[in-house]
Amino acid sequence: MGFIVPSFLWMLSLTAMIVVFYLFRKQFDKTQVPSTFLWNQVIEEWQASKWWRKLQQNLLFYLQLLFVILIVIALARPFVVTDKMSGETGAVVLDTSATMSAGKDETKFERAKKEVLDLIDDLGDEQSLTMVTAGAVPELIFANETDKRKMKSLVGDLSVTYEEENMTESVSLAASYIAGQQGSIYIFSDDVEENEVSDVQSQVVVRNIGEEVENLSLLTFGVKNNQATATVKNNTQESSSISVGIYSNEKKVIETKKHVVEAGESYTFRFDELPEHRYYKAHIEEDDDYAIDNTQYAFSNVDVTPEIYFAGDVSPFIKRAFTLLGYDPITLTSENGSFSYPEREDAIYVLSGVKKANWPEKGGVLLFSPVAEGSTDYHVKKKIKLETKLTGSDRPVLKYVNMEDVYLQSAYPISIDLDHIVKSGGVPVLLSGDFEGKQMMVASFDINDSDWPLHPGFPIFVQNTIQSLSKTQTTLGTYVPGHTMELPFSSSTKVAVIEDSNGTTVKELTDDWSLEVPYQPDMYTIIEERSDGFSERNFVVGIPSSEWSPQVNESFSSGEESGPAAKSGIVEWWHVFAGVGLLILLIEWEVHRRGNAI
Amino acid sequence: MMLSPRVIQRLPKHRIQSTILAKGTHRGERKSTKLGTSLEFSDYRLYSPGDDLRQIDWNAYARTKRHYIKRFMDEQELLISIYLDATSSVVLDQQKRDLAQSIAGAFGYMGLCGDDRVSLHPIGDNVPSFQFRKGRAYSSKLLSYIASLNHTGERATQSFMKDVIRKLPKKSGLSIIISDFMEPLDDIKSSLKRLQAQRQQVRLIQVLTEDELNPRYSGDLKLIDSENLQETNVSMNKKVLDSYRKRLSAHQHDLRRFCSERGIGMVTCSASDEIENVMFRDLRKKGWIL
Repeated sequence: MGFIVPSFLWMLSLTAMIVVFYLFRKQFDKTQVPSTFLWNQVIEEWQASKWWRKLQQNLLFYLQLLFVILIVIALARPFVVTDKMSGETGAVVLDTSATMSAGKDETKFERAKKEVLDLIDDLGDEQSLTMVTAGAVPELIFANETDKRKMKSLVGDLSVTYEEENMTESVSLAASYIAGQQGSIYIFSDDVEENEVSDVQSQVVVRNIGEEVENLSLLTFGVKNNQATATVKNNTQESSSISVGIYSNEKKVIETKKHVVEAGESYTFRFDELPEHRYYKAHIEEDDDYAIDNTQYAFSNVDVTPEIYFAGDVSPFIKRAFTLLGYDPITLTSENGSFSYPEREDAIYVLSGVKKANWPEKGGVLLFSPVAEGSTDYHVKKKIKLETKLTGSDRPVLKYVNMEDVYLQSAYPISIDLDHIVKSGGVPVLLSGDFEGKQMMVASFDINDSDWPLHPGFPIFVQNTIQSLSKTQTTLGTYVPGHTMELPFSSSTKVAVIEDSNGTTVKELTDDWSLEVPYQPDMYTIIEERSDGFSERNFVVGIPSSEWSPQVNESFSSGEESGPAAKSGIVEWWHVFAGVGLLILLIEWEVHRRGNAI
Repeated sequence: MMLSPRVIQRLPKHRIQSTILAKGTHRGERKSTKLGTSLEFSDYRLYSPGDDLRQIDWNAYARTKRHYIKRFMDEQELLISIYLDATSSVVLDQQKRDLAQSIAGAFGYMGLCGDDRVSLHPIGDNVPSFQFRKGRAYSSKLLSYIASLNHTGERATQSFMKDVIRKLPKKSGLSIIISDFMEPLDDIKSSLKRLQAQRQQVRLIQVLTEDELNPRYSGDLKLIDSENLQETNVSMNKKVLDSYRKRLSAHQHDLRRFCSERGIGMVTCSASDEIENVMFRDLRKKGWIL
């Protein structure tokens, strides 16, 4: 023996209810009174005056009749047909791109969500639904789900990701879930065109939400030499005056300019003699329906990864280490021993066997194999054999670099006004510090005399050296929402925190240094806690250029319904009848229980 | 003792008033229609042969030389029948029983002290009646007789008013009925008519408990009648209680109207009242006692 729907055994708990009813049934406390002469009259009068008392017998009859009818109807399993979605399954593709955040009172995305929730409400009991969001990478929210409450809560949690939508891939992902079944794909977006979905096999219903929006967009914003340009475009139907404000990184207005721009035209504002700031923000002060493209950020001077230049006879081991670390070094050619250095402050020069006279004048210098020569403040002797082991000091540049295990055969005794980092007995072999306005790291030996490049610590040393020689970067550039970036953290970084422009902590990074940038377009600050202090770096999340102007398209549907006769959704109602029947039973029981007493 | 010494001391100072003029052969303290042998002077009349020579007022003869006969008022006794409801409906509640018995005792005591002939019928009890006795000497006997009614023995379940007419007095007199009158009005009416036909001046004293006058029950109650053990299920609520009060006042009103039509006095008192207040305030105001 077995039960087909054992879940309904919970109704056995109703027996407990009946027991409780029994326990709390009307009980009359016995009381002796001198005479019930008047009480009898009262009862008679009461019973005579209540019209429904006379009907009580009939009432029971009617209730019983109703109960039986309801139970019979419930057993016949009544249902209604829902025509919103046909077929046994369906798939919803919801556009989460930036343009979906446009809209007058309610954003297009909110309206799309409401329509999806309506669709879920109208699902039949047997119909399942798959949902995919069309971000830059299609994301499956749920697949072949029938639990309406779960679906609704998942849909309710969705938000705009400001990415560029990838409709084609999302639709094909959705199509793969309903393949082989009767069903349609429902696309909720704003600008899907017919050719984007033309090669999908299933029936596609595209709902392009929203109408033309009034949009003013800030197309470009750049700052150079304290001069800024900001280009705005009027995407509305009539000319309107646009004012652009320039804000400092302290959120203060520096300057605001206003100009009337014709419909569909662009205009470029110029701001001169801006005060020095780390970054600037340009903002269109007018309110429009698409607020996300009204703000742009610009950094005052763009600094990027330091350029590496090789000069002299640099060992292939060293070259290898730099390429391993992802740098693209440029080898400089020599003319009579001298090199034509690009005079850049942010460059790092790796020198090997280069005389002091041929050193660059600016930038960071990593020097191997110094040439034996002598002057007042720089003196290098002939190479000598080293007797004792290497001893390193505790410096950030030597973090995770174990110098004790490194074998070094011989070195050039050197005297230069730099800190001694690694020594062999009394002979300094690795020195660092500031020398003649340059950041310097001097390795006073030939790399061929050592097994250091074979140690795992060598590339780490090179990376640490680049970090210490290069100027601290403060800007990381602009990213599209959801992009994953590798953060060039220093090896001594303990904790990094990402804050948005309001100073709210968005994310905390502890051990995973790769970062998926936030979706909300804004200026973010990474605050790093290193062993030697804090450092701040900025990056901007901006919407992709394809999302700058919201487009509008007509809704349409394409493709034939698969299968000969699409099955409609069915919602059963039997439990409503059974529930009402149960209620009638309880009322009947109560009427019965009251009997003749008041 | 249900009558406190204080009450017992006050009782002889009062007399039961009645419009019935005593008749009969026994001497009492009430004025009779006839002239008689009391000490109260009535008038003089001329002697005519056959009159008692002893009644000639010789002082008048000395003044007038005529024979006058001095006549005195005659004083006779009053027959007082007290019908005390001793059915379970009165006995059940102690306050009610005490007050009913106290009133009966007070009337009996007053009657005996006033040289009237008193009989007390505990209707519904198997104890024999206190038959027409006269004289102050019986007063303490009456009180102990009433005390003997406080037994827990069997009670009659017959209707009180129907039993009253089994004890009808032979002669005219005053009938005092002490009960709760929780009976069909027709039964009460027919019994009272029979009593009046027996030349009785009838006075009703209704004793009701607070629960009967103004019930404060709540919840679902199974009310059991103390006499016929009939059960009635009542779910108490404001409407039901209001309906009861309406019924009670209707019953009282009907009874009162019948009484006033037939010249019957009626007084209602609550079981929680003091006997002194009932006797010396309510009944005195009513003119039943002096």
